[in-house]
Amino acid sequence: MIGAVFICALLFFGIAPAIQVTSPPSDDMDFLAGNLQKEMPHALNTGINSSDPLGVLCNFTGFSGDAVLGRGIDLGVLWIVFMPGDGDVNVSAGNFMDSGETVGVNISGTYRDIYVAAGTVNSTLFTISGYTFDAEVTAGGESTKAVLLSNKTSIYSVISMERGEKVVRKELLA
Amino acid sequence: MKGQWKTIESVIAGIVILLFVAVLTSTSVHVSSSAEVQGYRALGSAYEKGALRAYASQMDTDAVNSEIAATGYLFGLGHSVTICNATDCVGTVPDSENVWASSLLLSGDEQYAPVEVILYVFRN
Repeated sequence: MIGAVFICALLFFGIAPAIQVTSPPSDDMDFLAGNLQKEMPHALNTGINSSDPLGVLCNFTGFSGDAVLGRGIDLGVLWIVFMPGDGDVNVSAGNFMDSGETVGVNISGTYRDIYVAAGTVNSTLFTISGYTFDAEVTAGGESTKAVLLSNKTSIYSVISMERGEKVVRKELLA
Repeated sequence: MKGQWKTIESVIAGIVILLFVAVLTSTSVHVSSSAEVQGYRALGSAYEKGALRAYASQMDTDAVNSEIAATGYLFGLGHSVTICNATDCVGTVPDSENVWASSLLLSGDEQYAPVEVILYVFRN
């Protein structure tokens, strides 16, 4: 009788932890965040080719959000695009996080805050000179500094993925 | 004394059964998580080679399947691919048990044409 109780107890306590191991792995979030980190600059380039870089980035961000939602992942993206012109640079911030964000931008010593409501894009113009310009961006709890080329469109982005307790965040500058 | 011996026998029998069940369960879990990981390795490898972009933007599932098979990560596993754009999906979803799906997002090739490549991996 005591032996039978032992067997039942051992089976119960042995199988229970094994069942927990079968919860789905979360490697897909790391993979997909890395995937977007590489793919956002490509989306920007296709947008430049079609003369609609911001429209394409907005569309690709929305498409990606819908795709990963099917895997139970909540995607948040904040991107800042630097589009140099003749003596100036147009800085556009797209906010696809859950709430409004204030993006701090410092271009060669001129600092401005750009408030971007959730799901929208806001732009501002800075004066630049020379072949390069210094850019510093504070956005989405992250901050970065870079020297950017005056003849090339550049992008800085913060990508955030959440599913339950797990959060993956990645930055990109290209 | 005889009763104690029977109890010890029962405990040993229980441990043997427990080990048997644990081995069966852990083998199954290992196969499942390994299949998904291999799926992501195959997708990642084909993506890094630049082999998928053109075929995926043309919704060519056969060519994408071939490129993924060529990575060698899915040896011994069955696989199939669906490619979805914003409105449609093409390709085959396997009619099998224990299927693991891995996804890759692409924004297009020369032109903007976003697609999701979904790789299904399963035991033959």
